[in-house]
Order: sequence, then C-alpha cells, then structure tokens
Amino acid sequence: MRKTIEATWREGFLDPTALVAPKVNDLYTRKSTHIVDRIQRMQRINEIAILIGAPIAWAWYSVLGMPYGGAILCTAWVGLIVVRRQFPHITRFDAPVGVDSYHYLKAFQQWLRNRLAWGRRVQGHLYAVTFLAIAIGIGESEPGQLLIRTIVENFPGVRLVNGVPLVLIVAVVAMTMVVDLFGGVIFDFDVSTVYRNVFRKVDQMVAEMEELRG
Amino acid sequence: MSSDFYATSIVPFAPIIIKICRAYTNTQEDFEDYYQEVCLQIWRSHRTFDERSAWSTWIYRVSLNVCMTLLKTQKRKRRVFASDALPPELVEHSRAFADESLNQLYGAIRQLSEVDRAVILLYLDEKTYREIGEIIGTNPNNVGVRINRIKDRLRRMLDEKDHRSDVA
Repeated sequence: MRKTIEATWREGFLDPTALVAPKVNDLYTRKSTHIVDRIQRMQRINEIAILIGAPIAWAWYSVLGMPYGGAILCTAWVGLIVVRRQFPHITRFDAPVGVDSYHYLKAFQQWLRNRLAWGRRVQGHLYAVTFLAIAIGIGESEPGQLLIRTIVENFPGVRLVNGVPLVLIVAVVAMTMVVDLFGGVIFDFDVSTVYRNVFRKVDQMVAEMEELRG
Repeated sequence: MSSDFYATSIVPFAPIIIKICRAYTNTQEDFEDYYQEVCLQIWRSHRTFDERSAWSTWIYRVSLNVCMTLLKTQKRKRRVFASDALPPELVEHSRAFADESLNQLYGAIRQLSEVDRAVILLYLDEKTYREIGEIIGTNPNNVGVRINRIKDRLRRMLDEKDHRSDVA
C-alpha cells in the first residue's frame, strides 16, 4: 500500500544529504553567464535586424521615390556591421578561462565599456550619415522637388548647385554637422533605450559581488 | 551579501528554499537558477523584514514569491506551458533526491498550479492554516478545503502513475 503524502514527505527528507545548501561563492556563477549570454544574444539580434532592415529600408525609400537616400542609408548601416566585424575584440567577448564569476563579470564589464566607447566613436557618425541620407531622400522626392521649386520661384536670384539652392545645401550640411556633433549623445540614447536594463543589471551584480567579497 | 549573512541567515533555512525551489523547477539547471535568485532576493530584501513574523516565515514568503514570479516569467518568455500542461512522462523530472517516492511526489506537485504548489508545500512543512494564509495572502478558512482538494488530486496522480507502472 502507498504511504500517505505526509509520510512520503517526512521520510524522504530523512536523508541528510538531500537538503545541503550550495556554497555562497557559487551564487553568481550561473547569473553571470546568463547575463553575458543575454547581452550577446541581444547584440546579435541587433546586427541581424540591421542587416535585414537596411535593404528593406532601401526598397521602401525607392518605392517612395528616394532611391539614393535609401542607398546611402543601407550602405552606411550594413557598412557599420562589416567594419565592426573586422574588429573581433569588439564583436566577440573572449571569456577569461579559469576565473571566478566576479572576474568573469568584471572582464565582461570592461569589454562592454570598450565596445561602447568604440561605438560612440564610430557609430556616432552614422546618425549624421542617416540624417544626410534622409535629407537627400527628401530632396529627390516629390515634396522635396516642390520645395526647391517654391524657393526658386520666390527667390529667382538664388544660387543653384546642380539645380539645388545653395542655401538649402548649406542648411543641410550645417544640420548634418550639428547631428554629428551630438552623435555620441544620440548613440548613448540609442543604446540606453535597448540595453539600459541589462547594463544596469551587470553593474548591480558587480556591486553586489564586490560587497560579497568584501 | 556578506558570507556571514549567508552563513547565519540563509544556510540554516536552506532546506526550506531547496524544498520550494525543487517544486517549481524540472531540471537541475533551473533549480540552481531559482535557488540563487531566492538567496539574492532574501539578501536584498532583508532590511525590509519587520520582525512581525518569524524569519522562517519571511524566507517562505520570499522564496515562494520569487519562484512563482520566475515560473511565470519563464512561461511567458519560452512560450511553453508549465509542467502542469505537459503529460507527466514528458516532464524531465529532476532525480534530485535519493528517495524515489519523494521524487514521484515532487513530480506530482509540479503538475499543480503555482499557488497550489505553495499551499501544499507549506502544509507538508507543517505550517498552520493561519501561517499558510499569512504567507500566501489568503483567508485561512479556505486553506483547509483547498488542502483537501490538492491532496486528493495528488493521490489520484500518484495512483495513476502506480497503475501505469504496473501495466508497463
């Protein structure tokens, strides 16, 4: 006859090895690898999204009558991925071997900082290129052409460069430079919208581990 | 978390955490994740412990809250159904304990809903209806009825398993 549920429970735990607590130092081992895996997975998804999204954006721009703007946009973003892949230390975190979870996470944190610094330096310029692509796209579109026509009609003496009012070119170039100037800030904002929570988690874990070690 | 805190405030109560985490996980890997998360949450939240209840009651509450939340998150993320939606033979039971009857009982408990698992774990750990009600935030009067219903369900599941083994 089967034992009662209560008896099964009671007798099952008579074995002293059944309920031994793991060591405190192991507490972060799996959490560390999880967070590192998660961030790397997010970064891979981000790259794939760019590689798929950029040609789609080009096609969409073409449909809207802005093929050159789309081409610039697509080339710039796909180019970023290609360039980034030339720097394995930026794309791949080489986990140190034989270290505890604290040093593992610290190494990852440092790698992340380097990657973000690289991104700020290189990717920061991409927002200006994106702005330029959009501006060129608008220029070649029907509303853009209408705007140019309106300017020429209202200011017949305006100086044209390849059919585009110089003042418009100067304005776009000036805006592009401003966007480029704030590229780092835009990059930080861009990154934080996607990664803020996980980055904060890494910092929090490192702080907790430091407290644990201290 | 200081090693002292772990040694003095968690290790003596680790059996509670282990029993609970086992009931909410099917694999050793998940068990380790849940155990770690519970310990960290106990540490993070210990300053909010108001000493109106026993420390062990606090441990039960935090452990159950963490396990239930993690299970829900996991279900949502993986878009798989919990063990209660899977046929028992497809669930990877963790052979966590030497006692096979206990493993079978855990297998049955894992097929209950999140809250029913909490209720039966507390009952089996000999908590009073009042304590159970306090920990899971329900009316103690309903606890007794609920426990009987859960025990009936567990018995049926275990008998069914025995019957299947006999036939096989």
